[in-house]
This record gives sequence, structure tokens and C-alpha cells, in this order.
Amino acid sequence: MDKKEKLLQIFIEEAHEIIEDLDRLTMELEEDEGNVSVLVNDIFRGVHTLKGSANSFGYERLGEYVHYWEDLLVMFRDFPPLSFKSSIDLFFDSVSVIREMLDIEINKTQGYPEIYEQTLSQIKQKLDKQENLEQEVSLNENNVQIKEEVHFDLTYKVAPINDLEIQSITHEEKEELSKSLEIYSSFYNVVLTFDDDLYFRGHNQQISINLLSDIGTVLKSYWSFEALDTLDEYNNEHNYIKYISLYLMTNETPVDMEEIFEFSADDHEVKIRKFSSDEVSDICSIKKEVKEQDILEEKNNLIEISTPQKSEVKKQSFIRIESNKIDELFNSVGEMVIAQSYIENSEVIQESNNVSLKKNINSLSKSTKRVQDQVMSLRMVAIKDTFLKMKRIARDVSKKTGKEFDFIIRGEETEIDKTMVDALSDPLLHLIRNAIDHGLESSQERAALGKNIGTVTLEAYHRGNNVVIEISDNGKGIDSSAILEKAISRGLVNPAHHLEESEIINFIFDPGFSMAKEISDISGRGVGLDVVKNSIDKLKGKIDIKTTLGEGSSFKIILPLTLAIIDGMIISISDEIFILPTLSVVESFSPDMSQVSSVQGKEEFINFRGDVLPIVHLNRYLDIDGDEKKDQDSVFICMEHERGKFILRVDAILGRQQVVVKSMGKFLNFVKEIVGGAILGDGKIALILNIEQLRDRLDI
Amino acid sequence: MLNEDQVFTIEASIAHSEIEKVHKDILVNIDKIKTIEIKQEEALKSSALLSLLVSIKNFKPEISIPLIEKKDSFLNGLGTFSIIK
Repeated sequence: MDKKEKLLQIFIEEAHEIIEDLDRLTMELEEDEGNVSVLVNDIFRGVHTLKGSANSFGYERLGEYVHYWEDLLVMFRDFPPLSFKSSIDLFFDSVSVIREMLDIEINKTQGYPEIYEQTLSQIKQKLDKQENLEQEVSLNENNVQIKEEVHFDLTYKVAPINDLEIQSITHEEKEELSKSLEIYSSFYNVVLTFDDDLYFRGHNQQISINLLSDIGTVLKSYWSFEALDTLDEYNNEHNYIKYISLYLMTNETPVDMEEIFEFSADDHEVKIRKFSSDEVSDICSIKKEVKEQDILEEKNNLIEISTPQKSEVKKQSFIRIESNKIDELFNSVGEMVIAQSYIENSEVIQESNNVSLKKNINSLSKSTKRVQDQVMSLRMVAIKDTFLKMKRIARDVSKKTGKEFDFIIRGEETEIDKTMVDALSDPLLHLIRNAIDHGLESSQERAALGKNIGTVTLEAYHRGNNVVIEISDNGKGIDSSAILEKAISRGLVNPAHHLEESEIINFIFDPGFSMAKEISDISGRGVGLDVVKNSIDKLKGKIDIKTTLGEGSSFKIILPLTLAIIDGMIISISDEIFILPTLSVVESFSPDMSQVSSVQGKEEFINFRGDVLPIVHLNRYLDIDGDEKKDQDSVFICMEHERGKFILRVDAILGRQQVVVKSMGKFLNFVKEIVGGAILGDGKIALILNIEQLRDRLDI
Repeated sequence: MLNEDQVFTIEASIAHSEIEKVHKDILVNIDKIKTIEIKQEEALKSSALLSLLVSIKNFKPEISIPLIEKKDSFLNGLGTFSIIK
């Protein structure tokens, strides 16, 4: 990947983050009028950054749109009498357009989002109104000037006035400044601070300075160099210039000034001060001129003045790392854990009487576990952003359906594996839409039933080694008899068969199964819940549904904490070792053979806690050679599947262990009964069984 | 480039990657150099050149480097260039 591609990749990631922020801020704007100016300002920053970046990458369609939206935000800032309330829907639509437009630009496809023209036209209309208002203001002499100049809060910090630098401006320079102000409208101080590794990142101070020179004239610049006493050891790749303060005359606005530094924001800290006309007059008339020597003598003071931020609260710093690097690190640590475990369990160590050695190995074991936990935590992110997206979805569906309800979010700080976050968006989106469209009654229906305002709750929490995400509503509930009727009419079930309530409800996950009487653009095509099930299956999770007719439904998605590690039950069949995901294990037991019966001497069933469950002899199923243990010596494990429970017959349970899942590679991908492999503590390799495939292949 | 008058001239537009070579040339000729001048036809490309000049001046103050000594020295884009240590 070349530098440009890397920059583009960074831009795409940042743009998506900005768009998510715009969604969140717009929702906050709708809900909290008290923070209007702060929120509009925050939205402005995002839009402004997006505009600069989009244009830099040639994304002109996106750039044009956000440019107009930026103007609209300026209008709201400068003309407080204009209520943004009437534009809040336009804000939401604009975020949607930007999101879609970004995808179009990234994919280099033709065309525009569906509501591009409509929303752009609305924005332009509002801007035209602003122009009229401005004209009215200028015509009315008694009118108070609304604002002298556009003055949004800048993304960058404001440079403090540095008296020593200003006082050292010579008489000639003052004269030049006075003359130049006939050409230039503004006088700025731009303070840049740099770190040691600047040159390694392909940047150098001169790039920023040359950019500034292009937009005006630098009157004076102050440079601070790190110790440069030994010429022999001078290193061309080390940055010795840590501070540059430039005094610039230009016609650019502060916002335009910011744009210059947008692409090098990671390379330096920027502080900008625009001197007011009074301040410029003062500078030009300063009588005392401080000589350079004075500055040198008072360098400590200067540093204190120029970097007051150092005494401020310590800034939390972040670094952006490609997720595949974290995955590689995680895999390496996984190997380390296995190697450590192999040493710990080796016969030599087990039989050793060397107390010190055992103590050291024990200490190594603890450290290794700690490192594994820390690396694991790098993959974990709060589910907050995904939940916020759902809040936006809920708002849109509320508008479309005309249903009013409380949307409650709980546990948004719950952490989940980063790789799962994206994959969860679609399932959650479908479940939220269904909860609102099918689950909740209309306001009139609820009033007639004596029900209070509807609620849809989205909640996340940790339970054991799982993350649970629950979507619940207090609406109609699911009518299982209607589902059964539909399933029978579609030939999915024999009317003579008795099905449990949970089995009936699970038909809603069948492809094309829909209970909606009308197909809308929200739901009803019967594709949603099928997608949900497939997505959750891929994440090695499961969905539990609880529903009570007239009271509401709850969809509980249970996911492993991470896809990279599973909690496994280690079993043996003959000399082979396998792993079962404990998420699917209900319980294990020694069989009472009197409860086992067979059909035509082939299929075996067991009466277990009132249920008749099929028994799968894993050795026969997997065609493993070796003598099968006697029935009474074997172990039965009750497994759970959405199509019902079943029993696995194995020789023994060897233990339970968290294992790092290793891919079987592309050559063994076709073996659907195996989801991966794992190396156990003693160095042995065990295959992880795919319970879904096992059950599906049973044909029972 | 060192001339007969012991003036070492450096192009202001020298690329960052070439500064190391200049550094080595200066080290080799350090006893012969009397003056280091910056020849300016284009804007300075890398500010690392300024670091090198400051380093030379600190190491051997008798070498004349007008850019650093004359506080009103002017490079494109830098305005009046002043050093604060």
C-alpha cells in the first residue's frame, strides 16, 4: 500500500467516525436544546473536516454537499433567531446522504443518493432565506450588527499572545505590517510544535510553512532548536526543531487557516491566533523593541509563555493501529500461551522436585495470562456506537410508522470483540425495525387497550464468557398459533406433529417466512429474521426468544466474548480428542440405559427429563476406528440447537478449557463439521466440532 | 560545494534526502570552510537544513553563516528568521 492509499484508508476510517458522530450529535441536538451552540459547533467541526478531506481526495460530489451544509450551519450560528428545529429532519437526511455519498465516492460509482437533490435543494432554499435576512439587516441602520465575523470555535487551540515575540518586531517590520494591511485583511500568529519522529513520517516543517507562504506573507518567524552541540552526531533523520512561531499576513479566514493543517494534524500541534484590528494597531505602535538577546536571556519565560498548556490536565493519547496487526499480535500471544502451557505440563517439569523452577514457571504462567488478557482487551470496544446507530434507526422508523415510543438504551459501555461489532449492525437493525413495526401497536391501539406509551429497549451486558444483547418491546407479542398455521400452510410442518412453543416461534427464522400482512419498506418481506439468524450463526452465537401475547417480546442474542477464543468442553472418542463449544452444552450425564430405546434397531432415543431426544454416536458419525465403550461407561452430553436438543454419546469428558481457535486453512474448509482446531496445553491438537452442522446432518 | 574562497554553498531547495551528503561534505571540509552560504532560487524544501546550520554554528562558531548571524536574513517563506534556543 503506497502513502496515498494509506492516507485514503485513514480518511475513509475517519470519515466513517465523523459520520457516526454527526448522527449522534444531531440526535443530541434534537433532544437537548440547552447545548445548541456547542452541538452545532461540534457538528460544524465534523462537517468542516469532512469537506476539506473529501475535496483533497477528489470526492467532489461529497465535497460540494458538505460545503452547502457547512454554510447552513454557519447560518444557524450567525442568525440565532432562525430556529434549527424546522431543519432537524434535514440534518438527519443530510447525514444519511453524506453516508451514502461517501460509499458512492469510495466505490467510484456514478450517480447520487436518492434524496441528494431534494435535500441539497432544501439547504439552498434555507441559505437563500439567510441572504434575504442579511440584506434586511444591512438596510436597517438601527439594526444591531449581528456578528462582526464568522467566528466558530476552532478545532485547534488559540495561540496565547507572546509578548516577547511581539515586542521583538522591529520598526521596519512594523512598517511592513502597516503597509501590508492595505493588501491583507488579517494578521495571524501560527504556533507549531513538533515531535522527534517528524521526518520518519515523511513530513517536515517546511511543508507547513510553504503552505502558509502560498496564502500570504510571513512577516517574522521564531525557531527553537533542541540541543545541537555535536556536529559529528548530527542525525539528519532526527527532528531538532520543536517550536516555530510565525507571524503571517493573509486574507484567509481562521476556518481556511485550519484547512491548511488538516492533513498534517497528526504531525504537529497547531495553535492559531487571529489578531483583532485593535491588537494589530497596538503591535504597530509598540515603542519598546526587544532585542533578540533579550529573548535569549528570557528564554525560560518565553517557554513558559508559549507553552502554557503543559500545566493543563494531561491529555489522553491514542494511536491508530490496523486491526490485522492486533490479530497477528493476538495469535502470537496465543502461541506463547500454548508454548508456556506445554512447558508447564511437560513430564520433566511435572516430575521435577526443583521448587525454584516450579515457582518460576508458575510466575511465567501468571504473566503470560496477564499479557493474553491485555492483548485480548485491545480487541474489545464498547458497543456504544452500534447502539447509537440503532437509536437513529429507531427515530427514522418512528417517523415512517407514526408510532411514538420510548427507546431505551442500557449497557452501551459493554465491550465486545471489534470483529463482531460490524457484523452485529444488520441483525440489530432488523430486530429493532421488527420490534417497532410488528411488535408495537399504534398509539390508538394502545390507548384502546389501556396501555401506556410503548417502549423498545436495547440492552447489552456480560454474562459469564458471553455478551448478551437483548431487544425487547412491550407490544403485541408473537402469536404462536398464527405462526403454526402459516408454517402448516407453507408445508413446513406436519399438522399431526406436536411442536413446543419455542419450536413454533423458531419458524420466524425460516427464509421467506413473514407474518406481516402488508409489505412496507421497513419490514414484511420475510428476509429480516433469516438474515438475523445467519449473522448470529456466523458469530457463533444464538438467539433466544421469549414472548407473551399482548405483553411483548424479547429477542436475546447470546454471543461469545470473542471469536478468537472459545470456552470448550474437551471430549474423547477412542484416542481422538474433540472440543465442543460449551455455549451449546446443556448438561452431561451418565446414561440410564433403561431410558434408551431404538427404532428398528437403528436410531436411538433417550427419555431425558420428559423429552425424547435423539442420540448421536459421535464415533459412528465421524467414522472413528476403535472399540466403542460399553453403554454404561460412556457419557451423554445434551446439546442445544434452535431446532431442538439432542444427545451426543462420547467416551469421556476430559475437561473444560478456553482455547484459541485456529483456522483449518483453505484446504480443509469443505469439512463443515469442523469449525477449527486448537492446540491444548499438552501440545495435542483437538478439532472443534460444528454443532449446527452436526444437528443439521442428523436428518431427524 | 566548497569554492576557492572557502565558501561552502548550499542550494536552499536541497531535498531532505541529500542533507546527509551535505553533512558529510561539511565534516570532511570542516577545517577549510570559512563561510556557509545558502543559495536561494527556490523556497527551502526541508527545514532540516536549518538544523544542520545551527549545529555547525554551535560546533564551530568561527564559521560564518550569514543566515544565522544576520538576524534580518531572509529565506522565502520564513519572514525574518530568528532563533530562540
